[in-house]
Amino acid sequence: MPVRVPESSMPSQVSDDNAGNTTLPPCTLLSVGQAFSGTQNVSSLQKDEAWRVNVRILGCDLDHGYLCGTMEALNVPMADTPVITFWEGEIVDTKNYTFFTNKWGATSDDDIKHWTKFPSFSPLQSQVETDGGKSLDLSNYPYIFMRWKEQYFVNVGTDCGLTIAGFYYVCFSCSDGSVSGFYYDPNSSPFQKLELKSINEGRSGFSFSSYQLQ
Amino acid sequence: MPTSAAASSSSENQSRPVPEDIVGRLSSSMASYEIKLKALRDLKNQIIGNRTKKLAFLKLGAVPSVVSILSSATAAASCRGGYDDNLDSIIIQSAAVIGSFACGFDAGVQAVLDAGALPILLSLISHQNEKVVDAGARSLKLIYQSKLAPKYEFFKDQNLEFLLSLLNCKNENVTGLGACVITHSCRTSIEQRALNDAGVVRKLISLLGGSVIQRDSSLESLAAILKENSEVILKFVGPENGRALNDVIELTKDKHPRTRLLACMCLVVIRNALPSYLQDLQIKTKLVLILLELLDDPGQVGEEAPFILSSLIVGKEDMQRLAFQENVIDKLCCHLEKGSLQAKRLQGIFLALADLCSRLESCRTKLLSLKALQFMVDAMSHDSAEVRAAACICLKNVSRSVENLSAGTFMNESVINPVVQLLCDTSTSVQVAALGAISNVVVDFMVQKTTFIQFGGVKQLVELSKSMDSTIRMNAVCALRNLMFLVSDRCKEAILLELTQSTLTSLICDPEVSVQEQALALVCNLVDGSTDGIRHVFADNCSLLRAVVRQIQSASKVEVVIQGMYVLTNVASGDELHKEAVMDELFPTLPGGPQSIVIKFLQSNESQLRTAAVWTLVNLTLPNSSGAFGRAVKLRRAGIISQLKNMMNDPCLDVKLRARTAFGQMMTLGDGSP
Amino acid sequence: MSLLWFVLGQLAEIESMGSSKKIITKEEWEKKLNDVKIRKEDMNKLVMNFLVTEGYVDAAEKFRKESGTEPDIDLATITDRMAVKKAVQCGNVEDAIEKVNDLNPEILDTNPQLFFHLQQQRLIELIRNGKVAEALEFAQEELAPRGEENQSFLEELERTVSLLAFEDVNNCPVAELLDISQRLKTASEVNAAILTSQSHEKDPKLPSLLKMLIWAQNQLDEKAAYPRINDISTATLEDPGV
Repeated sequence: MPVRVPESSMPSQVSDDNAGNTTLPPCTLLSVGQAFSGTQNVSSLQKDEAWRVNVRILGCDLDHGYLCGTMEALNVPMADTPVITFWEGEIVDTKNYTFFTNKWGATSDDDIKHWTKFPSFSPLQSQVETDGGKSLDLSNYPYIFMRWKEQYFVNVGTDCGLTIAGFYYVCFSCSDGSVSGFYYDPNSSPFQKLELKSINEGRSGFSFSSYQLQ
Repeated sequence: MPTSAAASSSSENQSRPVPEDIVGRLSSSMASYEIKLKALRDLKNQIIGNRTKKLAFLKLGAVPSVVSILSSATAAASCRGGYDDNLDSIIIQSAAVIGSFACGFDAGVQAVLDAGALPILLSLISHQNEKVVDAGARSLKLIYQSKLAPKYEFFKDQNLEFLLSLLNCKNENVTGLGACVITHSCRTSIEQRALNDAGVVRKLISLLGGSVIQRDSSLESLAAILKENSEVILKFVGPENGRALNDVIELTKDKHPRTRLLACMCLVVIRNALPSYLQDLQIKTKLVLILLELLDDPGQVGEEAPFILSSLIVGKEDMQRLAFQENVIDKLCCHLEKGSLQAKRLQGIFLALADLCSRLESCRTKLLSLKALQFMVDAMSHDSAEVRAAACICLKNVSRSVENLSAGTFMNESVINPVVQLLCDTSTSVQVAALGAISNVVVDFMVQKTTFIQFGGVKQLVELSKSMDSTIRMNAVCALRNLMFLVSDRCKEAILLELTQSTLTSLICDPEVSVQEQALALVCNLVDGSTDGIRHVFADNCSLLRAVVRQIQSASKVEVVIQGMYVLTNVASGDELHKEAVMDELFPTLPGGPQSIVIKFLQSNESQLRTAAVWTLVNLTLPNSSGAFGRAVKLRRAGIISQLKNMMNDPCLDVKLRARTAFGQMMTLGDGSP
Repeated sequence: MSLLWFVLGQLAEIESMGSSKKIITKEEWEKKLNDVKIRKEDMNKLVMNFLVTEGYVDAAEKFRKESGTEPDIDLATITDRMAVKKAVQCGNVEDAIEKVNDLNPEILDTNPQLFFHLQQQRLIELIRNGKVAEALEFAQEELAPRGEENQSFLEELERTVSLLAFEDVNNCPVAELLDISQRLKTASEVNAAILTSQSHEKDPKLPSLLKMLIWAQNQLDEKAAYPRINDISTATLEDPGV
């Protein structure tokens, strides 16, 4: 929740026009410090299984369509501690990023297959299929589409038996702060579903914090 | 060669004159012409190239003596008229001495100016003896190269005409002086336009075809006249000046490094003011490559090159990306690796690296992969304050990388220790730069922030938050605010113990708006996280809470109010007592009292303030809390319902969604009517 | 110069012909050489440039009268410059410094590296003359402050002062400092700085042309046997050996 008002001038302050602003999030519920909790379904044909997952937003740079944070998987069978990863997100703002991934081994077919699993994508689908959604203005759309890609393990080594090779197709609901996502990795079981809700530990209401990079 | 060997030994045998003697001879009224001339030459030969000697003679009061010799010699010469070799020699030598005192030595410039040398030297320009003119022009040029020299008043008396006469002179030292005066004094757009209208730009363009000295000084003053003035630049590139722009572009290929550098500087000035010019990728790339190559120059050119590179890329992401692709980061790091660099060069390289890393994560990743963190840390103990500050600015920009902040790249002893030490640096600019770096580094999410607290960082920050300098205060509070972000209860206690309630309270009411804003953000972080943090605003008879409320009622800056409302939002996310306290502050139950300030916020033009205000209402009306119903009744009475209704289709998505939530909650609670 | 362009031309021609090594007789070569036209004025300018840059003032004056080629610099300034150069070459550094300062006081004030090298040369001369006490005092008073301003100066200073530590300076690791070549190096550095301050090239054009000629001949050697110039000073065309 950084609250710098961009258009206001601040003459009293040494203004470094370069300042690494954590630019305004599109939605306060997606601002830095916000936490989410839920599950990731990792069921396969053999067994039903779900991990508890916590997510926290740590950085946001809208100019670059960038979001990042950590993801903590709690009852991972092979690990004796929770496994924390750092992820970076691409916000589909049709300027920095479009609905088409064009990397990480995902074809545009894969993209459409996953995006269409979100009901909120259907009004956009035809436009996306025509021009990749370039002409869409999503700035006032109550859902934010993203790709989250885990970059490294924070608290365990790469030999922990887990993989972060894939990435998540994510849809965030601005109205209630819920997150749904699908993990995509050609080598893992398909369509592992991620479902998270905005949480405020032990509080009766919403609370916000912020930092300001200089 | 027996003869020359003898000559050599005899000359080395002469004992060098002692400074006190020289100064004594200079100021003696009895000394003959020969003795004075000899003393002047001795003095000149001792101080040229030797800063230590300049300082020593300065302390002995040599400057006023020399200026007074120059003054009486010029007076005598003008009485006598015509050539007088003796007088001319005295004038030439004393002008040379004055010039040397002024060369690259601020204290010397000041002494020369204080002694009144400037008008006397200016009078030498019209002297008949060309060698006197040379000496005078050279000295003046050295004086005008210092920022201490007084501004040349272009609009006073015949000054503009005099300047033009300098530029039109055949003597290249004099034209060089004219250009140097412009470089030194041309600042405002009015001056820039006037110089252009007077034909100065045209004259300077013609000098681009002259000698090296003329070419270089013209390029430099053209840069001063064109700087940030698109109007004059449009004329410069216009048809009346032929192919001036092309001439400058050609000069970037000149064989003299200094000419190449200054031509680049001119082009950077043009590009920065009028980005539509020099958009060609080839030219942009070339500029980057030429400047990079000039860095290899062992002299002044190599020192200045990184500064111009920096002005080429600062604030421009496209240029930063281009520089990144041309491996600028690797090459700058190569220079750092070589070690034993001059202070100015180090400073420039760090600043250029800082600019490169100001926006692009790819640049930061690259720089960190080259082990550059160690270079920055090393430079933090450099003798030069400029270098220390530049190293901090570089660290500040690199540590904008959230990815590395998350990885704990910066939060370790070897980085934290030296930066924290710079907080008590004697130079304010170093302190500010160190605060900037610390502000970012302490955002660190993973490693315990206790590392920083253990190194005594908090104590220093708290000390600086009481500084008289508002910039330092603001930066110190910002660092504390970032440190307070997502921190454990134990750390909160430790920080607050050092900071104290009363200091924090007075920071919220600081005369500087930017400090108020940072202090409120700090409180916001303090009451976020576990609900335990909330009690701090109620301590000391609610002193913090009162201060926050006072600010939202009276602050003139919307940023302050927004930040204050988020503090109240966070407090209102606590238990019943907390919610009631916020309720009492925002909606005091005075019969017939004035409209609640919240209504004003909900009607604000600033969407962020509307958002913050609605969030407070959302927290106050959460249906599952026991006092919600009572609060809803009060809010309804205060006119909130109808206000929220108006916001159901707010142009700001965030406001609209929150307003709907708050409205829905209040509807669920009912209005108390049967 | 004509020869250079010619050799370069031949190089390109033979390059295009393929791999077999061609043999060119002296007659063919001279005939082709005669076809190359070079303006006399250009040759004269090249010579004048060399004389002026290298400081042969009398020769330059004579050449001016004979060929009518105007030098691009006032010949009087050459005399001053040569006096400085000569003073350094003779080890009379203090005199050289004073002369430079008379010529243009800015040169040494704005060129710390050159100033340091001159002072270093002064120290070397003191050591050469066995004036140990004076040398030490000079190093401490004049040079040490420069070393504080610049790390690389400090290293050079330490190297020079170490001369004092050896019994037999002519057989020590830093003996080269006492060599006459060190004087010449310093002298040519001053010479270049004065030329630059006079807006003149610091290197004559002729030597670089000769260097290019040698390079071109080496390239051509691989492709052809031709009348080579082995001795640059006489420029005799050797018969192509097979």
